[in-house]
Amino acid sequence: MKKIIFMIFAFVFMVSHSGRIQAKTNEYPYLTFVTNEGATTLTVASLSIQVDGENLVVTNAEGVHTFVLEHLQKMYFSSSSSSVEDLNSTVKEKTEVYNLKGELVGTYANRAEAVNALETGIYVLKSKSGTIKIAIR
Amino acid sequence: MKRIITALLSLMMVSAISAQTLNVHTDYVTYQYAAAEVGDVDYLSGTSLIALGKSFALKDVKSMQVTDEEVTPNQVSVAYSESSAHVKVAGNIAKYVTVEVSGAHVSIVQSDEVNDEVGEISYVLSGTSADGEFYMSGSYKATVEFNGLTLTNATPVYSGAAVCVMDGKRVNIKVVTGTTNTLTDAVSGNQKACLYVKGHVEFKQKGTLKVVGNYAHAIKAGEYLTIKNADIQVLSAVGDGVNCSEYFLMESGSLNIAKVGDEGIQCDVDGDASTGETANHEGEDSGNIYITGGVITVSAPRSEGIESKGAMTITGGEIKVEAYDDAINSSQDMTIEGGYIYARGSNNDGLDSNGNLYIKGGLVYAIGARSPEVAVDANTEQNKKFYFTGGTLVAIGGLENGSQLSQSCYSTSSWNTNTWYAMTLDDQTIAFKTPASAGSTLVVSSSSTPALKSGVTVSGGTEILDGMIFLNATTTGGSSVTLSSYTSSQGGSPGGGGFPGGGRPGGWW
Repeated sequence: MKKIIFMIFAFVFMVSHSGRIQAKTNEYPYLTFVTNEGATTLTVASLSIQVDGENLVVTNAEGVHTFVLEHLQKMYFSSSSSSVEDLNSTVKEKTEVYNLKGELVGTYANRAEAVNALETGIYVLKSKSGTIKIAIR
Repeated sequence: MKRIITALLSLMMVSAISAQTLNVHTDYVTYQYAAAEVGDVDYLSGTSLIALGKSFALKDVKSMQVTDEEVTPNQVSVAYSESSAHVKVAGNIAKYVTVEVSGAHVSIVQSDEVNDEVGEISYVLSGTSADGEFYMSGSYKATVEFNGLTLTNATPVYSGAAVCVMDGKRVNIKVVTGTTNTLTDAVSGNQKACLYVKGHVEFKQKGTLKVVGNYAHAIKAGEYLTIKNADIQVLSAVGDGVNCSEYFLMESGSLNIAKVGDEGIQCDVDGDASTGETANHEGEDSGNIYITGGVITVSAPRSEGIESKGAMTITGGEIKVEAYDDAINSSQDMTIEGGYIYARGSNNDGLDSNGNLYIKGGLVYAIGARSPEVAVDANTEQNKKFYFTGGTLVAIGGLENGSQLSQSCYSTSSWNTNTWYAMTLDDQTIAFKTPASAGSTLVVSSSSTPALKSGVTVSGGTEILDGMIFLNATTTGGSSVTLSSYTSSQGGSPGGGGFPGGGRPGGWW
């Protein structure tokens, strides 16, 4: 039995150090776009970006998001969408919140109000600025 | 137990999760940024974006995508596909390279800012194009990998070379193991070679590289050139097969050179004066050629086979050279301590040293043309000598007059052309095949007194030197050849051609 366990450990060690399959400790499933109006965090699954005239059009698994290029400041990857900073509560637009079943949880005056009101869980926030997925911890 | 296995499998599954990469696509180039490394990607005034110091005009950005493709840091890959080429640049070094693509003609300028901190950049080339090239310039050491590349430069844009590396530092050429690569340059242009590197070249890995030099040399390094493991085949060249400066070192692998207009291998002194051999070849600019291993085959129908403008040192390997002029020539001393050597100069010497020539070991089969040429020639005109102290020697065409023969030599004044001979020694029989023509005297020597037979049939043994010699040979038949003691005063004497085939039609060249 000890031999088997040792062999399994050795195999796992070899695999994890072979370079073919490397352990990834840093995962960045979110890309946040910061504009003059605030920040929008999108999941990176199937995410593609096109420059379309004066706009940056972002398409991901959840839909299409459009940003005015002149208003764009930066974008960055993050490992979590749950931070309030990422959500940027300066977005003052009416925000609808859905749970993962697609059910409307509530409608709020802005994102900050929505974030403050939500309990722990994963939600989709929809506003004119875009749709984002967040995790409240 | 189940828990342990489950835990380990889970660990493996977690390990297999891939990372995110931001791909910034321009016309022919994709810049790849690892999510973990890229940090903030800044947008400026709606007209440009900056990622890791690399600025892109948004009008040039065709699209961006996030994928799971892994990015190899410090790597640029070029994939040729007939009339086009696509380049991928690792984001961490994107700001240090300027890429230009015209059809399948690729130019990359590596910034002078690349240094030890940035690290060496690898350029990985693959794919096929009948009209493409790779041109790179830089000032820091680099690596070029041939990873299944077939590239012909039909209509030069940047140079006539198929691959031109204008980098004066150390350039690794990795011929990726398991791949076959073929380079062909343009028939006109100003290129120095089909594969040209301004600096010093170190060939590595075990793949195959075939090169055609349509305009000048097939392969040229501005500085030293070393070969380890790679299988390099010069299919033809207008100039030399391999040309370099400073020094040439063959450690292992194979180098096959055919159909060259000039020398098979030539090594020059780069500067005004030779440094001579240095410790570990540090800073060496000697014009020396060192062969310590590997297999070299040279066919040079118009010139010398292997020419060193410095010394020549052979300690190992298997070297077969057939040349119109001297087969193996050195401007300074030539020393043979090991290896298997076949050297035939059809119109000159087999081995020719313009300094002293030392044979201390190995197996040497040298063939020179009719007198005054000899099989083994040292520069007696300048009071140099051939010193023979050990090894096994077969020399058709005799030895340089005045040679110092510490090991006894034996000879016969006539020999049969295109005939298998068996030289029986204490420990083995060595079979060798005579050429169609050569000088008259056949000299043999080994550590034990040899017995010689002519006209044998070889039925077994270890074939070396492309079938010119069998070691540990099994032979039958033949007739004994009477051998006489050979003295140094016999060398270099005028004489006719070999009997009966000297100079007869059908000979090699």
